[in-house]
Parts: sequence; C-alpha cells; structure tokens
Amino acid sequence: MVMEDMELERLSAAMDGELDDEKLPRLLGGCRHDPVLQESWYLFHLIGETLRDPQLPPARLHGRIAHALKDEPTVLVPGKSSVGSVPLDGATQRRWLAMAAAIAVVVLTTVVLRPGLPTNPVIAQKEPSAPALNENSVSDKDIQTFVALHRQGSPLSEFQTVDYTPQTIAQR
Amino acid sequence: MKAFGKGIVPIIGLLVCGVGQAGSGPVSDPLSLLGQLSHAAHDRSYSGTYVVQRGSEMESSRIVHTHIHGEELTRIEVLDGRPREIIRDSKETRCYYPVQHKIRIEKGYTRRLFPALIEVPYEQYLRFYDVSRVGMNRVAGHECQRILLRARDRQRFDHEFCADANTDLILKAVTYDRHHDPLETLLFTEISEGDSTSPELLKSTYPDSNQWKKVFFPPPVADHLSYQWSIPALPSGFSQVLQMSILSSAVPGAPFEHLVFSDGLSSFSIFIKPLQGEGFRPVQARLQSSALSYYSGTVGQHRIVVVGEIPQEVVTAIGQSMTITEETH
Repeated sequence: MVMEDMELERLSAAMDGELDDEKLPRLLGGCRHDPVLQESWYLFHLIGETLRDPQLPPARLHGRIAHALKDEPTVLVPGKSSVGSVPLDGATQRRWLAMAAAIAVVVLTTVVLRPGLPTNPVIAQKEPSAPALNENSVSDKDIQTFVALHRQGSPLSEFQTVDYTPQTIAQR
Repeated sequence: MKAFGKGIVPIIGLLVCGVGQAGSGPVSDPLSLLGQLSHAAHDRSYSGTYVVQRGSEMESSRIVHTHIHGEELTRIEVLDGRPREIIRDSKETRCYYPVQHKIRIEKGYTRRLFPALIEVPYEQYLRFYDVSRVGMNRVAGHECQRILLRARDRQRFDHEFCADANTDLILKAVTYDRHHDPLETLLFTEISEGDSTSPELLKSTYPDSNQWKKVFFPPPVADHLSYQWSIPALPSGFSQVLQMSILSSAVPGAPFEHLVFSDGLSSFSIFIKPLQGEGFRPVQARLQSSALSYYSGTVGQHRIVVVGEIPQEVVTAIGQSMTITEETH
C-alpha cells in the first residue's frame, strides 16, 4: 500500500514536471501495466483542469469542491522534496480518490451540458471504411489532441503553434 | 494583313509570356540557391512581422533576428491568441508561456523558425523535389524571386518560396496541394533589414521567468523499446527523427509511442497505442485549416494514428500498411 501511495505521489510530481528524469522511465513503465495508475493520471488532470476553469458551471458547486479539496492533504502539486517522503494513509487516499471520482462525474456532466463548448470545425471529411469492434468513433477532440502532439514533436512545425500541455509527460 | 496578323500573334504571346514569367526557368545550380536561402535566413539581421495562414485561420508574430560576432539570436513574439515568446540562441530555444508560468526548453533539436526553412543537407531536397524559378512577386514592399520546389512523386506536397531579390531572404512560403491550392502560407507583412537592432529587443520580456517551471524537450532517454514495428508504405525520403513514449491525460489509458518522420520540408507523426478492450472505427480526415492529414485505425491489439503535412492517401497508406511485430517490454 505504501508503494502504491508513493507511485501516486510520483505520478502527481510528474504531472507537475517535478519528477526527476531518472524516475520517469520507471513511472511510465508502471503506468504501462497498471490500470489504477492510468486512471489516477487521468483523474488528477480532470480535477486540476476543472478547478482551473473559471467558466465551468455551476459556480457555487465548483467553489465548494475547490474549498473541500483545499482542506484535504492534497498530493496534486507536491514540491520536489515531498516525493516519497510522507505517504498518505490508506483511509485518506480512499477518501481522496472517492472525491476525485465524484468530481469527475460532475465534470463530465457539466462538460456535456455546457452550452457553446467549442467543437473542432476543422474536419473536412471522415470516411468510416470498416466495421468497428465496439463501434467507438474518433472524436474531433481526439484529432485535435494528436495534431497538438504532432506539432509538439515535429521539427517542422512552427514553434508558435506549439502550445504548452501540462498534462503530458514523455521519455525517449 | 492576314499574314501580318498570323505573325504578330505569336510574337505578342511570347512577349506576354516573357513579361509574366520574368525570372522564370530551371535553376542551373539548385544546391547553391538553396544554400543562399538558408544563409540569408541565418546570417542576416532583420526584424518584422509575419503571419501564418492556414485556411481561414491566421496568426501573426513579431520577429527580431540578428547575427552579430558569429552568434545568431532570434526573438519571436506571438501577437495573437495566448501570449507566447520564443528566444533562440546558439545553445537552445526557449518558449515562454506566461499564462502557465512555464518555459519549454529545446536543446539539440532544430525546430525550424520562419524564415529559416531550408537547412542542410541541401541534397535531401533535390532527391525528391525539382527546383525552378517561376517568376517574380512583391511581398511586404520587397521584390522577390519565386522559387518552386515541385514534388517528384505524389507522396508529398509542393512548396514555393519567394526570396528577396537583393538579399535572398525568404519573405513568403506556401505549401500547395495537388490542385495548386495553397494549404499553408507564411509571409512577412513588413520587414526591415540591417544591423541596427537593439540588443534589448532580443531579451525576454519576462524578467521574473527564473521562477517558472521548465519543461525540457526532447524528453529524457529511456533504456527500453516498447514495440517492434514495420512500415512498408513509408514514403521514400522520410526518415525517423524522434521516438518517444507519452503519457497524456488527453488520451486516457496506457502510455503510447510517438514516432516523428521528416523529409526536410514535411513531417508526419505515427502514434501507436495499446488497445485496452476498446475498438475504433477507422477514420481518414483532411483538416481544413492546415496541410494536415489524419488517419486512425487498428493493427492487432494496437491503435494507430498517423497525422502530418502530407497527402491524405499517403497518411492512410502508412497507417494501413503498419505491422506491430513484437512487444518487447
């Protein structure tokens, strides 16, 4: 359990660009095989993005969640020295993750209901050409994500088109 | 009179063509020409404003570039949208994101900055593009020579540069599709050349940025290789320039591979992501507001995404030809 807590803390540190380079490969390797870590990574960012988004209604709920989280022993933005130092106890972690899950539900609901949320107008054509296993489709946001990642990695992309994406870590 | 009419028409035609195509024709020494374009962008000092236009989207930037005492310094300030500032010297390129208080630092990775679009080795361009002069134009008040790099195959787009008639500095760059419609245009709207640039103009406007968080690119090297793959439909002339493993909250699930390929003028990325029970309907898309094409499909238990500044059918062929042969990690 302590190991899991430490991994979560490392994940949080990596999210904030605070994890040492030598620890990054191990963390990514762990994420490759650990669905809990993968889910935690996603939830951490969902929470962070929600709290930073001042436009997300309802404002009072948003504020209350922010206030509640403020009182929690959060591992969202730990300093470098905190990595691996004071692991959370199991009860605290479970409470925290439960709150994260609740926030995720709120976020997903508000995002879905939010009027005027911009959609990507750039698609000229989509040509489904084969049946899918589960009929999942690729969303415009999905395409935007990969375009942004391409621009970050391509030496031929104009640098000014490269936006900062704090929710991404990478290794060669 | 009839005979006169027959004779004069071709002559007028020749004259009209001659005027319209002044400065046209094949380039006798394309290597030297490409070298001149590259040297002008790196060795000259200039400042101005340029725009990047993709479809209906347009973004303008202010650039100051100097080459003094053997050192090249560039500062670019993005004037539209979220503020960004780019500072490049001989050691690194730093991009400042003041809203997030972050700095992206690129070392040992040569990202092109307009107008420095041509880089060594120049031979790489001549293997897959024919270089010719296609007339004169006027950009930002400067006469310029139009230089076309026409793709020799259908696996890449044509590119055209308009280089200052006096200094060879690229003032305009256009990427064309098969129908010669512009996909992407970069051009100066105003520019002045000379060494009168104040050193202050080359410094970052964010003096408090020492406290900002730094993100380094390319990322640290790992000692593992996640997959073995092959790409039978890899377009000739494109070579891999980068490979990374990425974990992104925008793409839920396990870390995935990002490969980048380039032929010197165009690039594309391949993303290989393990499927975790989900399936995907194959998707092909041309992105309206850029030269980008997109393909998403599956190969075995992996999702493949290909995106880049190459024709749609090439992107699709790359994705559909891929095989994942082994997972070694």
